[in-house]
Amino acid sequence: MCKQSIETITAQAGSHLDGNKAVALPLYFSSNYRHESLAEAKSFDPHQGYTYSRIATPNRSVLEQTMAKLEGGTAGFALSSGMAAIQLALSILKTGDQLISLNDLYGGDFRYFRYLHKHFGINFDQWDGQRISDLLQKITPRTKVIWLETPSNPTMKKLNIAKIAAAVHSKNTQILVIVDNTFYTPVYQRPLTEGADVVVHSATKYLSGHNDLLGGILVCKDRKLAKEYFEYYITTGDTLDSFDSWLLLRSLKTLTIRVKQHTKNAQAIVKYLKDEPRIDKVLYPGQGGMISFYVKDEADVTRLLDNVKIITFAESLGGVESLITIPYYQTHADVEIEQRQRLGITPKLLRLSVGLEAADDLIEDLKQALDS
Amino acid sequence: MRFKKIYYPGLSDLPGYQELRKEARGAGGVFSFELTEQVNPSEFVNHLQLFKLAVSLGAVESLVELPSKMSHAELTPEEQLAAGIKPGLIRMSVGIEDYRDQVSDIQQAFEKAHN
Repeated sequence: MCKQSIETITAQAGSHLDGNKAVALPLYFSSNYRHESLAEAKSFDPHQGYTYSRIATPNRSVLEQTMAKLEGGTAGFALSSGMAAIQLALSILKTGDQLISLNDLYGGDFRYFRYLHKHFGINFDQWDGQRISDLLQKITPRTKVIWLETPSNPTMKKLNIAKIAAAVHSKNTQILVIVDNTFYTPVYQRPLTEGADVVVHSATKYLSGHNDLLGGILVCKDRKLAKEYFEYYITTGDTLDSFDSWLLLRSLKTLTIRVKQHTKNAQAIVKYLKDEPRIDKVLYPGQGGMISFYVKDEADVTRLLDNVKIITFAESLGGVESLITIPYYQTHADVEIEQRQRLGITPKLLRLSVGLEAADDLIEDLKQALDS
Repeated sequence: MRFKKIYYPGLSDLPGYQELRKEARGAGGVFSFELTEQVNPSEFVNHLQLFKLAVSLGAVESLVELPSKMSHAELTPEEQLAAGIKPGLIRMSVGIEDYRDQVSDIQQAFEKAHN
């Protein structure tokens, strides 16, 4: 695995690969690739050359190799969305298998779990992230996956991946510990280096950072697992196309500086929110650009969402433009109501994705919205 | 003679032709063929220049491929034969270049591939 720093890997990703000596990686739109001769077509190796875009494209290959390097894995896969990455991650499950997840996840995950349960008889259990002994107690001989998000969405629960992975693997080495690393990105957290087996991203968020593409990433360590994933991936073809792959690679070049600035801005806003009397509680994991907070008066929810001018009321997160959402009605509408209540996802909880505008402008925006 | 058999939905001597005329309005731009023993299929395919050796079909650029080794390589040899795919079967997806250029390309490839 490359020992280069993350900034160097990303700044140089894709450079110097063009036969015409272009500095930037060209965009290959082609759906298919020529063979020089029949002999070449007969001895074709999908890991060495190109034939059909569902299997590989130059832009997607460079992106996947870069992500594998960044996360410290051996194989990367670029897909059409974060949910597609989750579908790939769980493609190894069979009827009767069990998955235990943290109880606080993006709502779409739960919607997919319900589908898998209903259609394929896969079983799901949840853990509150508190005591590892509780998680170990839930493991059965049919447990195949532990699914984690840290920090969790939206209550910002932080988990110790190394401790959890070690405990799970000492009980059963075959269980896959899968971490959704969307919020922290490999700049702050590299789950595979802490004992996790698979990492997924909604690349739509911080990796892209510009609110201009939908994509997903999966990276794994074990080569046998990578082969299994590859078979499913090239067969079902839920790929990220060349243009979005090119865009995403372009975005990765500034990942480190963006994430660091998101953190600086978020820390300033957290300070303001904690001093603001109209704000009840602030949830912030210490790093990154995601802040969840509760307002005291529910009327302030409407005041904020309807009146922010710089911050935009919209789904998604991780972009250079600040966004605000209300998980109860939007991102977590697919979570059962009692579970929303148990997790503290109430109609007074707002989630802010702090962008790269000036922190003072963002604070002023929140103030003027509350005042309106 | 160079072609032993041509498979194209627009040919009246093939089974299903009458049904096609009732249900479809045309026969499309994809066809496949078997060459006679005098022509080496690998050599023929390797010498085409306008027709590119690549998978996929339906595009404005003409393509040629060998189903037994490319598009239908997933099938076992027995499955291929059961489907009528012989090892020397060649499939062409005709593009929208000038047909005279397409025909000369095929002819020059025949010259070079003749045993």
